[in-house]
Amino acid sequence: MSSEPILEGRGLSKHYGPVVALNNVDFAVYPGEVVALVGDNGAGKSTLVKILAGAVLPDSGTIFFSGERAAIHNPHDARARGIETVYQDLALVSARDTTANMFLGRELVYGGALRPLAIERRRAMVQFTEERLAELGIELPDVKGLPIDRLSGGQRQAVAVARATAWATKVLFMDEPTAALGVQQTEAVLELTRRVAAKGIGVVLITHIMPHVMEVADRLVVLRHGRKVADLPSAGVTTDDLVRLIVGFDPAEDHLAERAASQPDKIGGA
Amino acid sequence: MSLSRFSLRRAAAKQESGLLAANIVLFGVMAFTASGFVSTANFRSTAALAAYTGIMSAFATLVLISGGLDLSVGAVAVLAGQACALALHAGWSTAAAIGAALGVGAGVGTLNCIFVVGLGINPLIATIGTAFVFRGLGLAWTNGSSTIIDDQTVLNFGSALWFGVPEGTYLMAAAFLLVWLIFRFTRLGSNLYAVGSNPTAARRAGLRVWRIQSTAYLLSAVSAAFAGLLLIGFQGASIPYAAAGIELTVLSAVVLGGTGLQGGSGSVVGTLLGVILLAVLAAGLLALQAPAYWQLIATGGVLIVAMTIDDVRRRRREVRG
Repeated sequence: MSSEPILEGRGLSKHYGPVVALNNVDFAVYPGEVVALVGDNGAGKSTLVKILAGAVLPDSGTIFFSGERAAIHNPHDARARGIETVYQDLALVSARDTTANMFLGRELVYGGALRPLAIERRRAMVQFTEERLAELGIELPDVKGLPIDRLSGGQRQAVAVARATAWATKVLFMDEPTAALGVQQTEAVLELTRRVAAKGIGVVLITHIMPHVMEVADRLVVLRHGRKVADLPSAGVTTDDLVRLIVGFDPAEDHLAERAASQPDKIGGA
Repeated sequence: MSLSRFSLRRAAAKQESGLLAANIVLFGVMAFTASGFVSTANFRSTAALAAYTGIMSAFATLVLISGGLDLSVGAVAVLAGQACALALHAGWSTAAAIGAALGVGAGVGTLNCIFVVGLGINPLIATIGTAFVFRGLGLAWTNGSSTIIDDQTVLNFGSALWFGVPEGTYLMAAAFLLVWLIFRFTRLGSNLYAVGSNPTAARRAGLRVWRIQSTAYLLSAVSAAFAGLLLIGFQGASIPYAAAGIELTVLSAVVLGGTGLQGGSGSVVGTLLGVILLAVLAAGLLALQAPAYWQLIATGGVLIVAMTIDDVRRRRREVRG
């Protein structure tokens, strides 16, 4: 794991009217690591990711890419640098097959004299798709011809991740990837997350499901009310610790800590 | 792997094979009950009639798949025919007159684009609106009167025979082939499906949704204008009141063929079968010497059946998905 962050935001702030979404947050993503971005609703996780992925402009702060100041003002700037996002709604076209989804907006066409006709190079696209899926160990019934609305939720998630990974050469953001999945499918997606990171890509996982966080994250970053309250390696951190950080119990407040210690089930919980 | 490739075709194929069966059955019924149904004259006039509906249907499939809807095709066809007839009457060359007709198509198509894609008006309302406006304009322009055509090229569109088959049939086949090729091989075809199925995803993936939707509406209008040429060729004159309600026949053929109203899925082959079914129905009724209102009842009936099947399929898909 490299010591230089591939993508870094320093002093990022964003407010919407009187509401402060982000307040002077520093956040770094390192190549090959899975960092979990956690926090309660309204903590600022989505805003942070959207800023780094170019979907939102911060009010202040700087973004660095590969150590240099980067102007990421729109999603294209981000994607051009190999930063991709898998949103919660997956943004897949259900009527089309896996290959078509893989190349959505980036279809390969024959060049030369045939360029104006934009005739697709289907075979090349199918081959590319099969290779990307094989790399991630994803098994799908058919890459060409089977519309993805016939795949299970986990398989569709896998397609979305495979697509983002195919084009994300540097950083991958995943927003609540396991939220709508069953146990087996969740396992598959988490395993996928590890494999993506193993390729050297920095993976940022937004999630509120504690067990999943603990399973894959190398590092944890906790946001609360727009501020970063913790940034630590995941080793040795318990679920309770994490929940406490998210919800904001101050251990110095003795009576709260006592109550927390005696009734662990009452503290939030997954 | 190649076996499951057909699962994409399975749902569409079911509809198509059902349609093919319906076609064969209907043909058989008509052949037995209507004397004169199985005659060259009947086939030729049916084919000529079906040709201009067919051309509009092929491109209507394209629009529907992209998530749009163009109900102005009838009005465009008639108006374009009028433009051509009047141009010929005023002494323009054949090529120029045809160009005028296609120009009308491009003009109305652009207007549809502005309303639907630019302003975001519901396409059902917007295209019905343009349909009414341009029908009215056509009537005003010609004072409600017809204009005779005596240009051979245009007349040939409607009634010339090549190896015993009407010219219009070849043109319709070409139209279907073109649309089929677009969907089978080109990026435009893929993009049309994407935009119709999930415009948000398409936009996020970097596709220029407005441009793709506009292409569909323009193609629809220009092809309708071309169909209008076949119409006046067949009629021998441009008749302002012609083809009333043709857009619903077109819609029936497309939806019957398996293209959903919602967009994102569809089959050109299905549309062709739908067009043939409606043509056989029309020819049969003609041969049975049924009163004209039976045409209306039959067309309406088919439309209802088509919409019902589409609705059932959509609900089944939602339950499964």
